[in-house]
Amino acid sequence: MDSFITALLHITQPANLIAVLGGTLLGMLSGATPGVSGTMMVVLLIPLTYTLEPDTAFLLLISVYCSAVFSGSISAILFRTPGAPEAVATTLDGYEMTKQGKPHEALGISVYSSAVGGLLGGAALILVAPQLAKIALAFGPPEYFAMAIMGLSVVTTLGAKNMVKALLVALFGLFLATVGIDPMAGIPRFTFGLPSLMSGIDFIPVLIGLFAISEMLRQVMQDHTVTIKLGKIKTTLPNFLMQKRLVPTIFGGSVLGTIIGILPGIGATTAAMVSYSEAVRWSKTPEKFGTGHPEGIAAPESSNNAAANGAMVPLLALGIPGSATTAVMLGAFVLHGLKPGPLLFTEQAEFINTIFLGTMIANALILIVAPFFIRGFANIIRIPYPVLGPVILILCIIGSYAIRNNMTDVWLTLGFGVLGYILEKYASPSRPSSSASSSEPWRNRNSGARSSCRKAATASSSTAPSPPS
Amino acid sequence: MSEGSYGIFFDSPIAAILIVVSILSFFAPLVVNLYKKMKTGAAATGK
Repeated sequence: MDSFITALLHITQPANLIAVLGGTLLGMLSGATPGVSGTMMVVLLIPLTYTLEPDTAFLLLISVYCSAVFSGSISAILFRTPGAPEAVATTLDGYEMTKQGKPHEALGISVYSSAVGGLLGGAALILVAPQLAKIALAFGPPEYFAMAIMGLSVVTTLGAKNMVKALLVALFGLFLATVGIDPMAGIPRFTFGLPSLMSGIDFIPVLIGLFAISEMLRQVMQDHTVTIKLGKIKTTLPNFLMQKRLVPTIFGGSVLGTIIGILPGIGATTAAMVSYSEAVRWSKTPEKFGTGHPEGIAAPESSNNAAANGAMVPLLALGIPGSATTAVMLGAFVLHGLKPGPLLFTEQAEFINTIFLGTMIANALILIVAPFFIRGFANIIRIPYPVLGPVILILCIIGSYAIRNNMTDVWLTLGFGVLGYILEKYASPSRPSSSASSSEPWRNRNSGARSSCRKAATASSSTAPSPPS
Repeated sequence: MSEGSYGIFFDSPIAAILIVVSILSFFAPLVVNLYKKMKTGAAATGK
């Protein structure tokens, strides 16, 4: 209880409140702009949070994460261009409502469902994560090793279309984790005599390359310019009758979203699609879906926000990321010298409670901030990508250099950017590789698990085919 | 491995369960495909 009161005092400090509000606005901007995802914004912000207090840094990142998931629906509803992959299902009924002259109602349903779904997912996070952490406290090296294996196998089997390709990429990620001086034997591995590789490949340049540069390269190949110009858009939140009507859909979507979010490697996009199809299946009027049906917006929007919060359960309690953005956040934990996992709940209880409170506030802020954001910024999201792309590239290079003032990190970022683009285009999603390499920091906590994983990675690196270059 | 120990899979039930789940997860796409085929087959035969 003491730590909760301290967390409450922490969060009400001006710097933290500004972080939550600023994060919410930045998240909405990134999520609503086609070609800029919430994950990319989190990646770009991580180096900038280096000088901030861990509480403030994570409040900023979590606010970006929560609001970006919602705001993908703005351009999906208004322009039929989902700002984020999570909003693909929302396009089906959202844009139909816009065509019928009801964009304000569609946006209102999206705002309301996202906020309620996010709050329910946040509540599940607060209830489930500490219980899971209590169980995980009893874990020793064998359990951690088994959990690392399970995390990677679930990511490769459930989170990817082609299991073999995903497995190869995950093994490549494990191989990346072996670069550097072996802490047990003191022998340099795959360093090519470069002193900057002696401490291993830093996690942040890999993240910036795989998630920001590769995404930017992918987006420049597509035309995202939105030609439709709209006037000032209002958001009409649903009235009491509509709220009452949407209760079962939002509740069902939130429960499904939370469960899917907790499972590693699946994420908010799948949650939104599954919830939409389940809403159609449960509905008494399934023929209305796809024609501008409010439930067709409420189901995916509540579900993707709940999934985003659910994905933080395994991240905080076990140190296993539940989604791409939480894998990126794992990098932020490393940067701030924190180790997510059960010990975080006992040793840093105030920090955890601050994160919990921040999540709830960020989700509630969607309800307050989104109508103003949509009114003021709906047309800003039409920024042409030839302007946006170079800005992202510059921010990526500055971010990767700033962490260690090291040019090797910049070359690594660019190299992983190209690699990520090639993997995404020709081979397999780069997510398993980042999950695999991200498991390195937490493996270091357990010498038994570490040696087991290192053995597996070293053994597999000799059999795994070389990555495309 | 200490004397009298049978390795992590016997010493730690949680680790054993997690490893079994990991192995089973590789069969998940197979099961999903099988289910889809069964569903399509049932719809085609009208059962």
